[in-house]
Amino acid sequence: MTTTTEAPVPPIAPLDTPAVRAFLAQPLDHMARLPWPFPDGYEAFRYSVNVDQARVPRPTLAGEWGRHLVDLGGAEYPTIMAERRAVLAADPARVKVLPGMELACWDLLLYYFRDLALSYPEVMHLDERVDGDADRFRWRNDLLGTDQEFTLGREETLPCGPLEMLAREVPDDLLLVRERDGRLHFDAGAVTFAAAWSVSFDVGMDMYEIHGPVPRMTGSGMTARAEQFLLRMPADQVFRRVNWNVAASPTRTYDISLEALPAWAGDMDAALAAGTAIPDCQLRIELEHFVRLPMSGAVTFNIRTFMASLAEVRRFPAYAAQLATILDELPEDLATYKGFAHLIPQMVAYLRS
Amino acid sequence: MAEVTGAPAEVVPPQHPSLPAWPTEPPSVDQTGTSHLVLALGGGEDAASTARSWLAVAAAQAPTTLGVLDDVDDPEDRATLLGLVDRARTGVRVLVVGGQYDVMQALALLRARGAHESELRAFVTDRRELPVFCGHCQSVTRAVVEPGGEADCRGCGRVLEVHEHAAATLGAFLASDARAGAS
Amino acid sequence: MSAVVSSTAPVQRAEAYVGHQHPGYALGRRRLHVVGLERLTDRVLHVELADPSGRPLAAFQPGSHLVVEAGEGRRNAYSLTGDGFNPATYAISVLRLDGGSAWLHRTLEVGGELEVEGPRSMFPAAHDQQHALLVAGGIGVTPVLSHARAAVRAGRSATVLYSYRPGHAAHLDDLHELAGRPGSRVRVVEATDVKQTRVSLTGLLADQPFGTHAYACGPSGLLEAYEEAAELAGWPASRVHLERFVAPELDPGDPFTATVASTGRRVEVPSGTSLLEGLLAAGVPVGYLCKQGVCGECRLPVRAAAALDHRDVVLTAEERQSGAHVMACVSRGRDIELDL
Ligand SMILES: Cc1cc2nc3c(=O)[nH]c(=O)nc-3n(C[C@H](O)[C@H](O)[C@H](O)COP(=O)(O)OP(=O)(O)OC[C@H]3O[C@@H](n4cnc5c(N)ncnc54)[C@H](O)[C@@H]3O)c2cc1C
Ligand code: HEM
Ligand code: FES
Ligand SMILES: [Zn+2]
Repeated sequence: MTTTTEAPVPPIAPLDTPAVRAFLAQPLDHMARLPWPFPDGYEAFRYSVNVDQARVPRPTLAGEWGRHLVDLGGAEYPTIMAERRAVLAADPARVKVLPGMELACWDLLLYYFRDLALSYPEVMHLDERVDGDADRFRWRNDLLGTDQEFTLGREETLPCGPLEMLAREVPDDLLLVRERDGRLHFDAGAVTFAAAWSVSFDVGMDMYEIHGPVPRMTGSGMTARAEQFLLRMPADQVFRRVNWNVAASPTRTYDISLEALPAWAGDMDAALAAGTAIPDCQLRIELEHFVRLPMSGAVTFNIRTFMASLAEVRRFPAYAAQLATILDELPEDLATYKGFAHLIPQMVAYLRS
Repeated sequence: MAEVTGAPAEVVPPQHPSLPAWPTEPPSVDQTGTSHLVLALGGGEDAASTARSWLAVAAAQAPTTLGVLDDVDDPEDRATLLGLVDRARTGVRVLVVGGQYDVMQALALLRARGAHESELRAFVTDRRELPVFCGHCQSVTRAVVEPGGEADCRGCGRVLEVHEHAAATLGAFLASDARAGAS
Repeated sequence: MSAVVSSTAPVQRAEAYVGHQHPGYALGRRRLHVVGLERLTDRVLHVELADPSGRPLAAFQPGSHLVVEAGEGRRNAYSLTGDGFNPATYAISVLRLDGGSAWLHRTLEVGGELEVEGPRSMFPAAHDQQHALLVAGGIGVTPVLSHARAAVRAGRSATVLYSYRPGHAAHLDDLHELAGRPGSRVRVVEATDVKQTRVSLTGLLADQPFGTHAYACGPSGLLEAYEEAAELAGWPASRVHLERFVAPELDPGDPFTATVASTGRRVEVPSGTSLLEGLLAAGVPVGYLCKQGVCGECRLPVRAAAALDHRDVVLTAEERQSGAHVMACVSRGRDIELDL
């Protein structure tokens, strides 16, 4: 095997402030932040263009989700970011920016830094107009110990490109789409936590190419509707969408990308052999946010991945029962695409026991 | 079982995998073009004869350039191709013919130079070879294989399983470690 | 929707919805300060605007415009002349005609205020452009200047054709300044009559690098000549962009009546209000999500209707034909009887 020289992982060094201590002392409860993906009474799952307005908090039986654009993950934040940064350092190909998308990456960085500073004012700060220069900013993230001054649009003022810079600070995978040759194309991305797909393969694709492997989606007209929605999405609103799966690895590994397949492909069989697989199976929720960025017109499709094990789900009998019903009813083509068709009987039995 | 419910059976819409859709006959020359670039790839006789018939039609209608490239992977041939693109003017139509590997790679190069789909027409003389993109090391291998089959990655040496999923921008089929998970 | 799906309407949101949090993304109606006025020609006034409290202004794509209050009850669109990158000010150039433009010329003064909305983007640059051909006619130079400036900032090349009547060449100096910068990849071609303009258009369209996108703004005569010449030069439509200075259609629709079949309840839907909003205001529960006509959530069964104006992208052509359903969040009609 060829040896790759790994870049150093930017260290995570939380500041010692009362706000940081309080933030990191939050109880770790994976269900409490999980966007429960099914409406009450929903018993049969089919794909739909299930977009909804963002930044509206949704209560669940276990807690709440959706208050902010970015959910840092509470006390789990440094853990997620350490995994993110390690992946980025080991595999620079997870960041792909096609020519012409450079400005969109700055647009995204600025939008998110501004939003984070307003959502988490005790621990994240963005100084604008540093020394009276409207293009100069200073970003401080006390939770990770980041303190970075930069000039908008000047890549040499950052340790890496703007897209990677943001990817090092937020748990979300970052995807940017823009219209090209009459269709929406996925032309820039920083993706470390893809669910069995590869950003370096998918970047540059249009919506039809991307969604080719998804059963029913294009054939039902859904791809066309999703594209229309994104093309027409108004600039003054922010939208979101929830997707769900049961992860191919029964561990809390976020990076189950296609790139990393050799590392995680054996996890499920090993756990099945050990008899621990089913309770550890992870209900994996993707919360996706759509923002139209003003300077470039690019639209985000930023994916925040949440996980809770079936054991954790089972603490909420109503949710366990609903998930069991949905898994039981799920058509085989969908279950096969999602990758867990062979586990359904065991999962349903476990959730109902 | 189904007869107890009055509900009609669920209609499952067809799947549309992302695969190149090659025409069965060489496409016609686009007469709205104001110049033409004909690219014959791979040195095969089928490609040459298709290129010749395009050339006859195209040259009668508008200024036409012929590019003959034996090997799209050869740096010199690539430079030749890029030189032809640099000299081309908007209004040009590009016609590409050759084996599937060569055609997909050449189209990817043209797209990277900003080509729109309406400016490109292509014909594949044989589908023996596929460009196979390794999801682990990102290299593209020229392989005699079909989607679903296996190929050795020239970058990392893994045995790859080729997916039924192609990317126009890369001009390649997706592939991943066929032995992953096997202990 | 398949019969197997037992979907229930989502919980309606009571909370106020927040779009963007940071003031640098404000696009709604707001008052800006006039911080600069400059007469570019005897009929063109250049107006510079800034946030009264010094807050950042929303960035914009080249080719965007502002909607500007232009007298009593009148709102006109004016193209922004800047490149849109983190702008400290907004700048527009207004040609004096009879109505709102004359009002702006008469009324604006430095230190005064102006109500604006936007920026809105309807004439953006393609990010895959290898080169830009920018065509301006008269006051149509405003978005072209914006595009040229954005190209320079991105280090990209552009060829500008500016057609004007001598003595009425607003921003010609700005274009020359861009072209004259060291290392600039902008070239300016001028034309001062119709014949010259046509000849230049034909010549330029025949000789642009592969991968060029063309953008034009100006009087309709010029735009027709441009479209014609581009087609003759073999340009695919996907490379040929233009903007007309005519008011965009913000069609609020006519008022109409909807009836709830089960209760006989009549709901009046005014112009500018959607059927969905009308029904919700009248206390008729309707599920919805996107309010953009894409998600399919607000689909309502129709028993009868004098007319249906489908504006969604959910219903298929056959479904529209049948008239059995309407998407309440965007579609309208006349005398709609809802099967509720
Ligand atoms: C997207 C967009 C961008 C625009 N950008 C600019 C800009 O940068 N600078 C600018 O000056 N204008 C611009 N306009 C045009 C502007 O919005 C107004 O239409 C224009 O100022 C005339 O408004 P008015 O109220 O003075 O004219 P009105 O009182 O409505 O009309 C006055 C007279 O002028 C005629 N007229 C109206 N519009 C035009 C026209 N465009 N050309 C010739 N005659 C006309 C009318 O028929 C009428 O006879 C833009 C329009 C759009 C839609
Ligand atoms: C409203 C818009 C969209 C809808 C409704 C939608 C819907 C879906 C659905 C239903 C799936 C299958 C997921 C599963 O079952 O686990 C999917 C997969 C996927 N989507 Fe989307 N999507 C949208 C937009 C996008 C955008 C904008 C991108 C990229 C920028 C994207 C990238 C992907 C990818 C990479 C996959 C995985 C495909 C694979 O297996 O290779 N989607 N999408
Ligand atoms: S609410 Fe989504 S289509 Fe009407
Ligand atoms: Zn490899």
